[in-house]
Amino acid sequence: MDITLGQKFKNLCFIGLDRVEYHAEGSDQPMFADSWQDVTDEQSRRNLGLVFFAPRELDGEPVNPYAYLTIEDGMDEVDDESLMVAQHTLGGVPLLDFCRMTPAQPNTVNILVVADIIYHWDMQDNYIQPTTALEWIRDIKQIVKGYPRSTEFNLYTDWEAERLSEFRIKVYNVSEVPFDTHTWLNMPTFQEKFGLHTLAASILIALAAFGLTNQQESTLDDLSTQIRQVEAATPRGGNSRILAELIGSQEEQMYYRYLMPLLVKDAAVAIQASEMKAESFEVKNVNPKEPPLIMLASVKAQKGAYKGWLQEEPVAKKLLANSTTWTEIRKPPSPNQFKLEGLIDLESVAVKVEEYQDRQEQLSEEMKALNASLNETEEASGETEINDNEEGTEQ
Amino acid sequence: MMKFTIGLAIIAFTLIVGGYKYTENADLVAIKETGLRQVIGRKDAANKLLARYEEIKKKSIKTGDDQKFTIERTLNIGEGGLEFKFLGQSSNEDGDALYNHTFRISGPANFAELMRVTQQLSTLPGFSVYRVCYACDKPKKKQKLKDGQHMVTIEGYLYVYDPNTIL
Repeated sequence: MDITLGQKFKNLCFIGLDRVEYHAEGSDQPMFADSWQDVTDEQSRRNLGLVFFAPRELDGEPVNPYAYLTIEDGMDEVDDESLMVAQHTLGGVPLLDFCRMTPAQPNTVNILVVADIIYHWDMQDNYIQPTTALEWIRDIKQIVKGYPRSTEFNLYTDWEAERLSEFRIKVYNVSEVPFDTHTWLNMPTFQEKFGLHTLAASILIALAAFGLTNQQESTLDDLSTQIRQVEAATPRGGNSRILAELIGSQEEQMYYRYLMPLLVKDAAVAIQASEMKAESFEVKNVNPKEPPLIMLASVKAQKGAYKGWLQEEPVAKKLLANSTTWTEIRKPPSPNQFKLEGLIDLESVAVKVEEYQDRQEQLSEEMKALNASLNETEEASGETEINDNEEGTEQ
Repeated sequence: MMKFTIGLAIIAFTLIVGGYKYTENADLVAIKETGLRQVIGRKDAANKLLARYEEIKKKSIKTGDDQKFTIERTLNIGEGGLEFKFLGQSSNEDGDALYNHTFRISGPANFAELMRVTQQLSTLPGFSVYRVCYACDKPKKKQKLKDGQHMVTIEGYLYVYDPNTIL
Protein backbone atom coordinates (compact mmCIF):
# COMPACT_ATOMS: atom_id res chain seq x y z
CA MET A 1 0.00 0.00 0.00
CA ASP A 2 1.47 3.38 -1.03
CA ILE A 3 2.24 5.95 1.58
CA THR A 4 0.40 9.23 1.31
CA LEU A 5 1.62 12.71 1.99
CA GLY A 6 -0.59 12.96 5.07
CA GLN A 7 0.88 9.76 6.47
CA LYS A 8 4.41 11.00 5.95
CA PHE A 9 3.99 14.52 7.33
CA LYS A 10 1.63 15.66 10.05
CA ASN A 11 1.57 19.24 8.79
CA LEU A 12 1.65 20.27 5.12
CA CYS A 13 2.35 23.67 3.62
CA PHE A 14 1.99 24.26 -0.10
CA ILE A 15 3.80 27.30 -1.52
CA GLY A 16 1.99 28.74 -4.48
CA LEU A 17 2.81 31.74 -6.66
CA ASP A 18 1.64 34.45 -4.31
CA ARG A 19 0.26 32.62 -1.34
CA VAL A 20 0.62 29.53 0.71
CA GLU A 21 -1.90 26.96 1.85
CA TYR A 22 -1.26 25.34 5.21
CA HIS A 23 -2.83 22.08 6.38
CA ALA A 24 -2.34 21.53 10.11
CA GLU A 25 -2.69 18.14 11.74
CA GLY A 26 -6.27 17.46 12.73
CA SER A 27 -7.59 20.55 11.01
CA ASP A 28 -10.40 20.24 8.43
CA GLN A 29 -9.96 23.64 6.86
CA PRO A 30 -6.71 24.89 5.34
CA MET A 31 -5.16 28.19 6.26
CA PHE A 32 -3.94 30.71 3.71
CA ALA A 33 -1.19 33.26 4.10
CA ASP A 34 1.44 35.14 2.15
CA SER A 35 4.41 33.30 3.62
CA TRP A 36 4.87 29.86 5.12
CA GLN A 37 6.58 31.42 8.15
CA ASP A 38 3.32 33.22 8.97
CA VAL A 39 1.35 30.01 9.48
CA THR A 40 3.97 27.79 11.11
CA ASP A 41 5.83 27.88 14.38
CA GLU A 42 8.76 26.01 15.86
CA GLN A 43 6.68 23.09 16.96
CA SER A 44 4.71 22.64 13.75
CA ARG A 45 7.89 22.86 11.67
CA ARG A 46 9.21 19.72 13.36
CA ASN A 47 6.61 17.66 11.49
CA LEU A 48 6.15 19.90 8.48
CA GLY A 49 6.37 19.00 4.81
CA LEU A 50 7.02 22.12 2.75
CA VAL A 51 5.80 21.56 -0.78
CA PHE A 52 6.71 23.91 -3.58
CA PHE A 53 6.64 23.81 -7.32
CA ALA A 54 9.91 24.78 -8.99
CA PRO A 55 9.83 24.29 -12.72
CA ARG A 56 13.10 23.35 -14.36
CA GLU A 57 15.44 25.90 -15.83
CA LEU A 58 15.56 26.39 -19.54
CA ASP A 59 18.55 24.06 -19.62
CA GLY A 60 16.43 21.39 -18.00
CA GLU A 61 18.38 21.35 -14.73
CA PRO A 62 16.43 21.34 -11.46
CA VAL A 63 16.39 24.50 -9.40
CA ASN A 64 18.21 24.98 -6.12
CA PRO A 65 15.33 24.77 -3.66
CA TYR A 66 16.84 27.26 -1.24
CA ALA A 67 17.38 29.69 -4.09
CA TYR A 68 13.84 29.18 -5.35
CA LEU A 69 12.36 29.75 -1.92
CA THR A 70 14.49 32.83 -1.31
CA ILE A 71 14.25 34.61 -4.62
CA GLU A 72 11.72 37.40 -4.73
CA ASP A 73 9.99 39.19 -7.55
CA GLY A 74 12.40 41.12 -9.65
CA MET A 75 15.40 39.17 -8.51
CA ASP A 76 17.42 37.29 -11.07
CA GLU A 77 19.86 35.64 -8.74
CA VAL A 78 20.34 35.00 -5.07
CA ASP A 79 23.61 35.79 -3.42
CA ASP A 80 25.44 33.26 -1.27
CA GLU A 81 24.68 35.05 1.92
CA SER A 82 20.97 34.90 1.25
CA LEU A 83 21.29 31.22 0.42
CA MET A 84 22.97 30.57 3.74
CA VAL A 85 20.32 32.51 5.57
CA ALA A 86 17.65 30.53 3.73
CA GLN A 87 19.29 27.26 4.66
CA HIS A 88 19.50 28.31 8.26
CA THR A 89 15.88 29.50 8.31
CA LEU A 90 14.58 26.35 6.73
CA GLY A 91 16.77 24.22 8.91
CA GLY A 92 15.84 20.57 8.60
CA VAL A 93 12.33 21.18 7.30
CA PRO A 94 11.58 18.61 4.58
CA LEU A 95 11.46 20.31 1.18
CA LEU A 96 9.35 18.67 -1.51
CA ASP A 97 9.59 19.89 -5.10
CA PHE A 98 6.54 18.42 -6.79
CA CYS A 99 7.98 19.35 -10.17
CA ARG A 100 10.23 16.33 -9.72
CA MET A 101 7.22 14.04 -9.40
CA THR A 102 7.40 10.64 -11.04
CA PRO A 103 5.18 10.48 -14.14
CA ALA A 104 1.69 9.16 -13.54
CA GLN A 105 0.37 5.83 -14.69
CA PRO A 106 -0.66 5.57 -18.37
CA ASN A 107 -4.09 7.02 -19.08
CA THR A 108 -4.13 8.73 -15.69
CA VAL A 109 -3.90 12.38 -14.78
CA ASN A 110 -3.40 13.57 -11.23
CA ILE A 111 -4.37 17.13 -10.38
CA LEU A 112 -3.48 19.05 -7.25
CA VAL A 113 -5.26 22.32 -6.43
CA VAL A 114 -3.71 24.25 -3.54
CA ALA A 115 -2.76 27.85 -2.66
CA ASP A 116 -3.20 29.68 -5.97
CA ILE A 117 -2.07 27.07 -8.45
CA ILE A 118 -3.25 24.03 -10.28
CA TYR A 119 -0.57 21.39 -10.63
CA HIS A 120 -1.18 18.34 -12.68
CA TRP A 121 1.01 15.53 -13.93
CA ASP A 122 0.46 12.81 -16.45
CA MET A 123 2.44 10.07 -18.09
CA GLN A 124 4.70 12.47 -19.90
CA ASP A 125 5.27 15.54 -17.77
CA ASN A 126 3.96 17.80 -15.04
CA TYR A 127 2.39 21.22 -15.44
CA ILE A 128 1.62 24.19 -13.25
CA GLN A 129 -0.73 27.11 -13.84
CA PRO A 130 -2.09 29.88 -11.65
CA THR A 131 -5.71 29.87 -10.58
CA THR A 132 -8.11 31.51 -8.20
CA ALA A 133 -10.91 30.37 -5.97
CA LEU A 134 -13.43 31.55 -8.56
CA GLU A 135 -11.82 30.21 -11.68
CA TRP A 136 -10.29 26.94 -10.64
CA ILE A 137 -13.34 24.85 -11.64
CA ARG A 138 -13.25 26.27 -15.14
CA ASP A 139 -9.49 25.68 -15.27
CA ILE A 140 -9.99 22.06 -14.26
CA LYS A 141 -12.55 21.57 -16.99
CA GLN A 142 -10.11 22.99 -19.51
CA ILE A 143 -7.49 20.54 -18.37
CA VAL A 144 -9.91 17.62 -18.55
CA LYS A 145 -10.90 18.57 -22.10
CA GLY A 146 -7.28 18.29 -23.14
CA TYR A 147 -7.23 14.56 -22.50
CA PRO A 148 -9.00 11.64 -24.11
CA ARG A 149 -12.33 10.61 -22.67
CA SER A 150 -10.91 7.38 -21.39
CA THR A 151 -8.45 9.18 -19.13
CA GLU A 152 -8.81 8.67 -15.43
CA PHE A 153 -8.61 11.87 -13.37
CA ASN A 154 -7.62 12.10 -9.70
CA LEU A 155 -8.14 15.48 -8.06
CA TYR A 156 -6.44 16.30 -4.78
CA THR A 157 -7.79 19.38 -3.04
CA ASP A 158 -9.51 20.51 0.11
CA TRP A 159 -11.44 23.15 -1.79
CA GLU A 160 -15.16 22.76 -2.38
CA ALA A 161 -15.45 20.37 -5.34
CA GLU A 162 -19.12 19.52 -5.51
CA ARG A 163 -19.48 21.14 -8.93
CA LEU A 164 -17.02 18.65 -10.33
CA SER A 165 -19.17 15.68 -9.42
CA GLU A 166 -20.77 15.63 -12.86
CA PHE A 167 -17.39 14.98 -14.35
CA ARG A 168 -15.64 11.67 -14.10
CA ILE A 169 -13.14 13.02 -11.60
CA LYS A 170 -12.29 11.30 -8.39
CA VAL A 171 -11.81 13.80 -5.61
CA TYR A 172 -9.41 13.21 -2.71
CA ASN A 173 -8.07 15.26 0.17
CA VAL A 174 -4.72 16.90 -0.19
CA SER A 175 -3.31 14.61 2.47
CA GLU A 176 -4.04 11.65 0.22
CA VAL A 177 -1.58 12.70 -2.45
CA PRO A 178 0.74 9.72 -2.99
CA PHE A 179 4.13 10.32 -1.49
CA ASP A 180 6.94 10.23 -4.04
CA THR A 181 10.46 10.06 -2.63
CA HIS A 182 11.85 11.73 -5.74
CA THR A 183 10.20 14.95 -4.69
CA TRP A 184 11.84 15.04 -1.27
CA LEU A 185 14.97 17.04 -1.90
CA ASN A 186 16.56 16.98 1.52
CA MET A 187 15.41 13.54 2.56
CA PRO A 188 17.73 12.42 5.31
CA THR A 189 19.94 9.50 4.52
CA PHE A 190 19.81 6.40 6.61
CA GLN A 191 22.81 7.67 8.55
CA GLU A 192 21.23 11.05 9.16
CA LYS A 193 17.91 9.53 10.09
CA PHE A 194 19.29 7.02 12.53
CA GLY A 195 22.47 8.81 13.52
CA LEU A 196 21.16 9.91 16.90
CA HIS A 197 19.58 6.53 17.51
CA THR A 198 22.83 4.79 16.67
CA LEU A 199 24.79 7.07 18.94
CA ALA A 200 22.32 6.56 21.77
CA ALA A 201 22.35 2.81 21.24
CA SER A 202 26.13 2.76 21.17
CA ILE A 203 26.29 4.66 24.45
CA LEU A 204 23.80 2.24 25.99
CA ILE A 205 25.76 -0.75 24.68
CA ALA A 206 28.98 0.73 26.00
CA LEU A 207 27.39 1.35 29.40
CA ALA A 208 25.98 -2.17 29.43
CA ALA A 209 29.35 -3.63 28.52
CA PHE A 210 30.99 -1.50 31.18
CA GLY A 211 28.43 -2.60 33.74
CA LEU A 212 28.83 -6.24 32.75
CA THR A 213 32.60 -6.20 32.98
CA ASN A 214 32.35 -4.32 36.26
CA GLN A 215 30.07 -6.99 37.59
CA GLN A 216 32.53 -9.64 36.47
CA GLU A 217 35.34 -7.78 38.21
CA SER A 218 33.23 -7.60 41.33
CA THR A 219 32.54 -11.33 41.11
CA LEU A 220 36.26 -11.98 40.71
CA ASP A 221 37.01 -9.87 43.77
CA ASP A 222 34.35 -11.71 45.77
CA LEU A 223 35.76 -15.06 44.74
CA SER A 224 39.28 -13.98 45.63
CA THR A 225 38.07 -12.81 49.04
CA GLN A 226 36.25 -16.08 49.62
CA ILE A 227 39.33 -18.06 48.65
CA ARG A 228 41.46 -16.04 51.05
CA GLN A 229 38.93 -16.48 53.85
CA VAL A 230 38.68 -20.23 53.31
CA GLU A 231 42.45 -20.58 53.15
CA ALA A 232 42.78 -18.60 56.39
CA ALA A 233 40.24 -20.88 58.06
CA THR A 234 41.92 -24.05 56.82
CA PRO A 235 43.94 -25.84 59.51
CA ARG A 236 47.58 -25.87 58.52
CA GLY A 237 50.87 -27.22 59.70
CA GLY A 238 52.54 -30.59 59.57
CA ASN A 239 52.28 -33.15 56.85
CA SER A 240 48.64 -34.04 56.56
CA ARG A 241 49.37 -37.00 54.33
CA ILE A 242 51.61 -38.64 56.92
CA LEU A 243 49.13 -37.89 59.68
CA ALA A 244 46.32 -39.41 57.62
CA GLU A 245 48.43 -42.53 57.05
CA LEU A 246 49.23 -42.86 60.76
CA ILE A 247 45.60 -42.41 61.75
CA GLY A 248 44.45 -44.87 59.08
CA SER A 249 46.98 -47.47 60.15
CA GLN A 250 45.98 -47.21 63.80
CA GLU A 251 42.27 -47.32 62.99
CA GLU A 252 42.77 -50.50 60.96
CA GLN A 253 44.90 -52.21 63.59
CA MET A 254 42.45 -51.41 66.41
CA TYR A 255 39.25 -52.09 64.46
CA TYR A 256 38.76 -55.70 65.65
CA ARG A 257 40.79 -55.59 68.85
CA TYR A 258 37.67 -56.11 70.96
CA LEU A 259 37.35 -59.63 69.49
CA MET A 260 40.69 -60.94 70.81
CA PRO A 261 39.37 -62.09 74.23
CA LEU A 262 36.53 -63.92 72.47
CA LEU A 263 38.94 -65.67 70.09
CA VAL A 264 41.20 -66.78 72.94
CA LYS A 265 38.28 -68.02 75.00
CA ASP A 266 36.71 -69.76 72.01
CA ALA A 267 39.95 -71.61 71.27
CA ALA A 268 40.23 -72.70 74.89
CA VAL A 269 36.60 -73.82 75.03
CA ALA A 270 36.94 -75.71 71.74
CA ILE A 271 40.07 -77.51 72.98
CA GLN A 272 38.38 -78.44 76.24
CA ALA A 273 35.13 -79.53 74.57
CA SER A 274 36.92 -81.70 72.03
CA GLU A 275 39.02 -83.21 74.86
CA MET A 276 42.16 -82.67 72.85
CA LYS A 277 45.41 -83.38 74.65
CA ALA A 278 46.82 -79.96 73.92
CA GLU A 279 50.20 -78.71 75.01
CA SER A 280 49.70 -75.08 74.00
CA PHE A 281 47.59 -72.87 71.83
CA GLU A 282 48.07 -69.54 70.18
CA VAL A 283 45.88 -66.95 68.47
CA LYS A 284 47.73 -64.47 66.27
CA ASN A 285 47.69 -62.19 63.28
CA VAL A 286 49.94 -63.94 60.80
CA ASN A 287 51.32 -60.61 59.52
CA PRO A 288 51.17 -58.06 62.37
CA LYS A 289 52.14 -55.21 60.08
CA GLU A 290 48.95 -55.70 58.05
CA PRO A 291 45.44 -54.93 59.34
CA PRO A 292 44.05 -57.96 61.18
CA LEU A 293 41.33 -59.37 58.91
CA ILE A 294 42.32 -63.01 59.24
CA MET A 295 43.64 -64.61 62.43
CA LEU A 296 45.23 -67.99 62.90
CA ALA A 297 44.56 -70.18 65.90
CA SER A 298 47.24 -72.86 66.37
CA VAL A 299 46.94 -75.78 68.74
CA LYS A 300 49.88 -78.08 69.51
CA ALA A 301 49.13 -81.47 70.84
CA GLN A 302 51.18 -83.10 73.55
CA LYS A 303 54.05 -85.13 72.20
CA GLY A 304 53.11 -88.67 71.42
CA ALA A 305 49.45 -88.09 72.27
CA TYR A 306 48.22 -88.95 68.79
CA LYS A 307 49.60 -91.49 66.47
CA GLY A 308 48.54 -91.17 62.91
CA TRP A 309 45.78 -89.39 61.09
CA LEU A 310 43.15 -91.91 62.19
CA GLN A 311 43.49 -90.54 65.69
CA GLU A 312 44.18 -86.99 64.62
CA GLU A 313 41.33 -86.48 62.20
CA PRO A 314 38.48 -86.98 64.71
CA VAL A 315 40.17 -84.50 67.03
CA ALA A 316 40.41 -81.98 64.22
CA LYS A 317 36.73 -82.39 63.35
CA LYS A 318 35.66 -82.04 66.97
CA LEU A 319 37.80 -78.98 67.38
CA LEU A 320 36.26 -77.30 64.35
CA ALA A 321 32.78 -78.30 65.43
CA ASN A 322 33.23 -76.95 68.94
CA SER A 323 34.62 -73.62 67.83
CA THR A 324 32.23 -70.81 66.98
CA THR A 325 34.87 -68.62 65.36
CA TRP A 326 36.91 -71.00 63.21
CA THR A 327 35.79 -71.36 59.59
CA GLU A 328 38.40 -73.92 58.45
CA ILE A 329 40.93 -76.19 60.05
CA ARG A 330 44.06 -77.74 58.67
CA LYS A 331 46.98 -79.81 59.78
CA PRO A 332 50.19 -77.97 58.80
CA PRO A 333 53.38 -79.86 58.10
CA SER A 334 54.94 -80.58 61.47
CA PRO A 335 57.30 -83.52 61.57
CA ASN A 336 57.82 -83.68 65.32
CA GLN A 337 54.48 -82.74 66.76
CA PHE A 338 50.78 -82.91 65.88
CA LYS A 339 49.56 -79.42 65.23
CA LEU A 340 46.28 -77.98 64.02
CA GLU A 341 45.56 -74.52 62.65
CA GLY A 342 42.15 -72.90 62.54
CA LEU A 343 41.32 -70.02 60.22
CA ILE A 344 39.36 -67.12 61.75
CA ASP A 345 37.62 -64.57 59.55
CA LEU A 346 37.26 -61.54 61.81
CA GLU A 347 34.62 -59.89 59.68
CA SER A 348 32.22 -62.82 59.94
CA VAL A 349 32.96 -63.12 63.68
CA ALA A 350 32.12 -59.44 64.11
CA VAL A 351 28.81 -59.97 62.29
CA LYS A 352 27.94 -62.91 64.55
CA VAL A 353 28.79 -60.88 67.65
CA GLU A 354 26.61 -58.01 66.46
CA GLU A 355 23.71 -60.34 65.76
CA TYR A 356 24.13 -61.92 69.18
CA GLN A 357 24.11 -58.51 70.86
CA ASP A 358 21.00 -57.48 68.92
CA ARG A 359 19.25 -60.66 70.02
CA GLN A 360 20.27 -60.01 73.60
CA GLU A 361 18.87 -56.50 73.45
CA GLN A 362 15.64 -57.77 71.96
CA LEU A 363 15.29 -60.39 74.69
CA SER A 364 16.02 -57.79 77.29
CA GLU A 365 13.26 -55.55 75.93
CA GLU A 366 10.81 -58.42 75.93
CA MET A 367 11.69 -59.32 79.52
CA LYS A 368 11.15 -55.73 80.60
CA ALA A 369 7.75 -55.66 78.91
CA LEU A 370 6.83 -58.99 80.54
CA ASN A 371 7.86 -57.79 83.98
CA ALA A 372 5.89 -54.61 83.55
CA SER A 373 2.72 -56.54 82.64
CA LEU A 374 3.24 -58.95 85.57
CA ASN A 375 3.53 -56.02 87.95
CA GLU A 376 0.31 -54.52 86.66
CA THR A 377 -1.47 -57.82 87.10
CA GLU A 378 -0.22 -58.15 90.68
CA GLU A 379 -1.33 -54.62 91.50
CA ALA A 380 -4.77 -55.26 90.05
CA SER A 381 -5.20 -58.53 91.99
CA GLY A 382 -3.97 -56.77 95.16
CA GLU A 383 -6.65 -54.09 94.83
CA THR A 384 -9.33 -56.72 94.27
CA GLU A 385 -8.37 -58.49 97.55
CA ILE A 386 -8.52 -55.20 99.45
CA ASN A 387 -11.98 -54.44 98.04
CA ASP A 388 -13.22 -57.98 98.95
CA ASN A 389 -11.91 -57.60 102.53
CA GLU A 390 -13.66 -54.26 102.95
CA GLU A 391 -16.98 -55.68 101.73
CA GLY A 392 -16.64 -58.63 104.10
CA THR A 393 -16.03 -56.25 107.04
CA GLU A 394 -19.12 -54.18 106.27
CA GLN A 395 -21.32 -57.23 106.13
CA MET B 1 26.34 11.46 9.52
CA MET B 2 28.91 12.20 12.18
CA LYS B 3 26.67 10.85 14.90
CA PHE B 4 26.05 7.67 12.94
CA THR B 5 29.75 7.14 12.32
CA ILE B 6 30.69 7.84 15.91
CA GLY B 7 27.91 5.56 17.07
CA LEU B 8 29.08 2.74 14.84
CA ALA B 9 32.65 3.24 15.96
CA ILE B 10 31.63 3.09 19.61
CA ILE B 11 29.58 -0.05 18.99
CA ALA B 12 32.44 -1.74 17.15
CA PHE B 13 34.96 -0.75 19.79
CA THR B 14 32.66 -1.89 22.57
CA LEU B 15 31.96 -5.22 20.91
CA ILE B 16 35.62 -5.94 20.23
CA VAL B 17 37.14 -4.73 23.47
CA GLY B 18 34.14 -5.54 25.59
CA GLY B 19 33.78 -8.97 24.06
CA TYR B 20 37.44 -9.75 24.65
CA LYS B 21 37.28 -8.47 28.20
CA TYR B 22 34.07 -10.38 28.88
CA THR B 23 35.45 -13.69 27.66
CA GLU B 24 38.70 -13.11 29.53
CA ASN B 25 36.83 -12.34 32.73
CA ALA B 26 34.51 -15.29 32.21
CA ASP B 27 37.55 -17.59 32.00
CA LEU B 28 39.02 -16.01 35.13
CA VAL B 29 35.72 -16.45 36.98
CA ALA B 30 35.62 -20.11 36.00
CA ILE B 31 39.20 -20.57 37.19
CA LYS B 32 38.48 -18.79 40.45
CA GLU B 33 35.35 -20.86 41.03
CA THR B 34 37.32 -24.04 40.46
CA GLY B 35 39.99 -22.74 42.83
CA LEU B 36 37.37 -21.94 45.43
CA ARG B 37 35.92 -25.42 45.18
CA GLN B 38 39.37 -26.90 45.58
CA VAL B 39 40.16 -24.73 48.58
CA ILE B 40 36.84 -25.63 50.19
CA GLY B 41 37.61 -29.29 49.50
CA ARG B 42 41.02 -28.95 51.13
CA LYS B 43 39.50 -27.19 54.12
CA ASP B 44 36.87 -29.92 54.50
CA ALA B 45 39.55 -32.60 54.21
CA ALA B 46 41.72 -30.82 56.78
CA ASN B 47 38.78 -30.47 59.17
CA LYS B 48 37.87 -34.13 58.70
CA LEU B 49 41.45 -35.11 59.39
CA LEU B 50 41.46 -33.02 62.54
CA ALA B 51 38.23 -34.64 63.65
CA ARG B 52 39.72 -38.09 63.00
CA TYR B 53 42.80 -37.08 64.94
CA GLU B 54 40.68 -35.98 67.91
CA GLU B 55 38.86 -39.31 67.79
CA ILE B 56 42.04 -41.35 67.54
CA LYS B 57 43.50 -39.49 70.52
CA LYS B 58 40.71 -40.97 72.63
CA LYS B 59 41.93 -44.41 71.57
CA SER B 60 45.60 -43.62 72.38
CA ILE B 61 47.62 -42.82 75.46
CA LYS B 62 49.48 -39.60 75.99
CA THR B 63 53.23 -39.26 75.71
CA GLY B 64 54.66 -39.81 79.14
CA ASP B 65 52.12 -42.43 80.11
CA ASP B 66 53.88 -45.00 77.91
CA GLN B 67 56.13 -46.13 80.79
CA LYS B 68 56.67 -49.77 81.82
CA PHE B 69 55.79 -49.33 85.46
CA THR B 70 52.79 -47.11 84.76
CA ILE B 71 51.37 -49.72 82.44
CA GLU B 72 52.12 -52.61 84.76
CA ARG B 73 50.33 -50.75 87.50
CA THR B 74 47.32 -50.14 85.28
CA LEU B 75 47.18 -53.81 84.27
CA ASN B 76 47.90 -54.98 87.78
CA ILE B 77 50.81 -57.10 86.69
CA GLY B 78 54.51 -57.30 87.43
CA GLU B 79 56.54 -58.48 90.45
CA GLY B 80 57.17 -62.10 89.68
CA GLY B 81 54.12 -62.53 87.48
CA LEU B 82 53.43 -61.12 84.08
CA GLU B 83 55.98 -58.57 83.00
CA PHE B 84 55.56 -55.77 80.48
CA LYS B 85 58.37 -54.73 78.17
CA PHE B 86 58.80 -52.71 75.00
CA LEU B 87 60.28 -54.41 71.95
CA GLY B 88 62.73 -52.28 69.98
CA GLN B 89 62.39 -48.57 69.41
CA SER B 90 59.17 -46.67 69.00
CA SER B 91 58.09 -45.58 65.53
CA ASN B 92 58.47 -41.89 66.45
CA GLU B 93 61.42 -40.82 64.30
CA ASP B 94 60.34 -37.42 62.98
CA GLY B 95 58.45 -36.03 65.96
CA ASP B 96 55.09 -37.21 64.61
CA ALA B 97 51.91 -36.46 66.45
CA LEU B 98 51.15 -40.20 66.54
CA TYR B 99 53.51 -43.12 67.01
CA ASN B 100 53.50 -46.61 68.47
CA HIS B 101 55.51 -49.10 70.49
CA THR B 102 55.62 -52.84 70.09
CA PHE B 103 55.16 -54.49 73.45
CA ARG B 104 55.25 -57.93 74.95
CA ILE B 105 53.70 -59.12 78.18
CA SER B 106 55.11 -62.45 79.26
CA GLY B 107 55.41 -64.56 82.33
CA PRO B 108 53.62 -67.20 84.37
CA ALA B 109 49.84 -66.91 84.62
CA ASN B 110 46.78 -69.08 84.77
CA PHE B 111 44.06 -68.95 82.14
CA ALA B 112 41.83 -66.66 84.20
CA GLU B 113 44.54 -64.06 84.54
CA LEU B 114 45.36 -64.37 80.86
CA MET B 115 41.73 -63.64 80.04
CA ARG B 116 41.64 -60.75 82.50
CA VAL B 117 44.68 -59.08 81.01
CA THR B 118 43.54 -59.80 77.45
CA GLN B 119 40.13 -58.32 78.23
CA GLN B 120 41.76 -55.21 79.73
CA LEU B 121 44.04 -54.78 76.73
CA SER B 122 41.03 -54.98 74.38
CA THR B 123 39.39 -51.96 76.04
CA LEU B 124 42.17 -49.76 77.43
CA PRO B 125 43.17 -46.84 75.15
CA GLY B 126 46.22 -47.40 72.99
CA PHE B 127 46.53 -51.20 73.08
CA SER B 128 46.05 -53.48 70.09
CA VAL B 129 46.96 -57.15 70.66
CA TYR B 130 48.00 -59.23 67.67
CA ARG B 131 49.24 -62.40 69.43
CA VAL B 132 48.21 -64.35 72.49
CA CYS B 133 50.00 -67.55 73.31
CA TYR B 134 49.18 -69.89 76.18
CA ALA B 135 51.83 -72.35 77.28
CA CYS B 136 53.94 -71.72 74.18
CA ASP B 137 57.17 -71.13 76.12
CA LYS B 138 58.95 -73.07 78.81
CA PRO B 139 59.61 -71.46 82.18
CA LYS B 140 63.09 -70.20 82.92
CA LYS B 141 65.39 -72.21 85.08
CA LYS B 142 64.63 -71.78 88.74
CA GLN B 143 61.24 -70.37 87.84
CA LYS B 144 58.51 -72.32 89.55
CA LEU B 145 54.98 -72.28 88.25
CA LYS B 146 52.00 -72.49 90.55
CA ASP B 147 49.14 -74.92 89.94
CA GLY B 148 47.27 -74.10 86.77
CA GLN B 149 49.91 -71.65 85.64
CA HIS B 150 51.63 -71.72 82.28
CA MET B 151 53.98 -69.37 80.49
CA VAL B 152 51.88 -66.76 78.71
CA THR B 153 52.87 -64.32 75.97
CA ILE B 154 50.85 -61.38 74.75
CA GLU B 155 52.22 -59.18 72.01
CA GLY B 156 50.78 -56.08 70.41
CA TYR B 157 51.09 -52.40 69.64
CA LEU B 158 50.79 -49.48 72.02
CA TYR B 159 49.64 -46.29 70.29
CA VAL B 160 50.73 -42.95 71.69
CA TYR B 161 49.92 -39.34 70.80
CA ASP B 162 52.06 -36.33 71.54
CA PRO B 163 49.86 -33.35 72.58
CA ASN B 164 52.81 -30.96 72.15
CA THR B 165 53.14 -31.61 68.45
CA ILE B 166 51.60 -28.74 66.45
CA LEU B 167 49.55 -30.04 63.55
